[in-house]
Amino acid sequence: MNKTIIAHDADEMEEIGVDLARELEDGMLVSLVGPLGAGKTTLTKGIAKGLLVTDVVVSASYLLERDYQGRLVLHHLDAYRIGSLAEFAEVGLDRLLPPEEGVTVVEWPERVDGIVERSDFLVRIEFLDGGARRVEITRASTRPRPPRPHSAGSDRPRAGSL
Amino acid sequence: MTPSFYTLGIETSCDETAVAVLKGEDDIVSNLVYSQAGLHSRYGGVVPEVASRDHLRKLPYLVKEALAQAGIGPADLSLVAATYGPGLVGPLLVGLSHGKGIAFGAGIPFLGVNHLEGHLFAHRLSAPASPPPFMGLIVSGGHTSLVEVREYGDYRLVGATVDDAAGEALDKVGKLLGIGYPAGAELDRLAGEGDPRAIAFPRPMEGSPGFDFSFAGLKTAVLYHLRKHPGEKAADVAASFLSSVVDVLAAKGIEATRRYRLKRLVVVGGVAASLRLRQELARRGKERSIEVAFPPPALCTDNAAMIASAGAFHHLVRGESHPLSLAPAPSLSF
Repeated sequence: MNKTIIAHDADEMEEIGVDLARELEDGMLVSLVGPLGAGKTTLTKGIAKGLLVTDVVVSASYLLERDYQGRLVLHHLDAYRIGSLAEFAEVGLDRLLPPEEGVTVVEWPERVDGIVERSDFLVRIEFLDGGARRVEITRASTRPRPPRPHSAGSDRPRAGSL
Repeated sequence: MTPSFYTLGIETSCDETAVAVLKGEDDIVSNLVYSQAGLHSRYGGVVPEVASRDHLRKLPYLVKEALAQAGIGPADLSLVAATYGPGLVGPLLVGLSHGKGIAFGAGIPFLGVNHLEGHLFAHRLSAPASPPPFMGLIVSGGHTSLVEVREYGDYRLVGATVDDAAGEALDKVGKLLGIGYPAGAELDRLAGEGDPRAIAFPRPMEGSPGFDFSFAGLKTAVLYHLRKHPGEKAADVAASFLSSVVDVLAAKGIEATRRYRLKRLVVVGGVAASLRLRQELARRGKERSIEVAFPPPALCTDNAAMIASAGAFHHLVRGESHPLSLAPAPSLSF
């Protein structure tokens, strides 16, 4: 499922996220690629809305990761200040790429080798003239998914946080 | 004579490694911050790996130095307080584990401190004689929150950013203008050479009901402006942008203080060091007969004295301590 959508304003960008959320399942990784101010966090707000998250989704740039409870747990990551997967491991976040449970949405994934490649969805946002955005969504249907012996039931307590 | 009560404070929630020793509830005997700004500026942002490794490398040295400056040894400590959230999980874990180890070794209580609550204790340290109630405005790289402080330990979150923190907006716009990290001080300086009325940037949420903030749209407005007018004077962009941020913070801060029928607004966090924010808030406070308090910059930015102070309060006044199993809480709020 690949598609390209034009978002004319922030509401439409959020709507694209709401639609995308319908396709998301436990253990999935979503990469959001686009320049500063493109609307990555706005799209993430839409995904959260679609996942029935009630808390306000704020920027993850400073804390690097924020968790939200919805239909699935949403892990919102920002790789802007990260240089490698080893650095993600250093701060204890490599376990979310992809997550064992819940969905990970990562901004600036292209700054870290290996994240885009292992994503289930790649979303590219580009500026168009006049303020609109071109949003291209690619689903990596061919990505071999590692076996997930633990993913059968969702009533298991969450993997221990650090 | 009862021996003095000494608290060791440890702060490692983001890019600063900080250790302090506090005597009693508000007497700072040592307060050390190992600023890593020099290391980080090469990367255009905080590099967590570097931050985390540096905490680990510098903490033992800083603790030793803080105790030496206080003229005491580990055996003289009565309490260890360390930040347990919000922040980066790795760095938090380093500071927390180090603090627990010292507490366990010395056989004294341990207390985890909420970094945001810690910021409010900058006021208790600098003005112990003017207690709550007051309105707290926490403005930093990671946080923009208005909190009603009924008394220390009793808080109500009044408003917070719905997207970017104010300091984060400064850093991101700084990046657009080619300024290194952190951008606050340089933006302040550059803005001094520009015209704050040159560009009419939006005042996001200024007129909206409620006390939430939003800075992402303002960042985008600056981006659009720079794309459309690539030749624009950076000083004018900095001045106009900063005046928008300051207007919103000042308007919301004063209005929240007034609405909650409080007489004092206390501004803490790294952005509280902004000269323009201080001037504007002082002016608006005067108009509304609201006292605006700014703790000294050394207590506003991330430091461990505020963590020690919050810890000492919770232990001495409230009789609290935490088990050594206390885990970092990266997304901790009020």
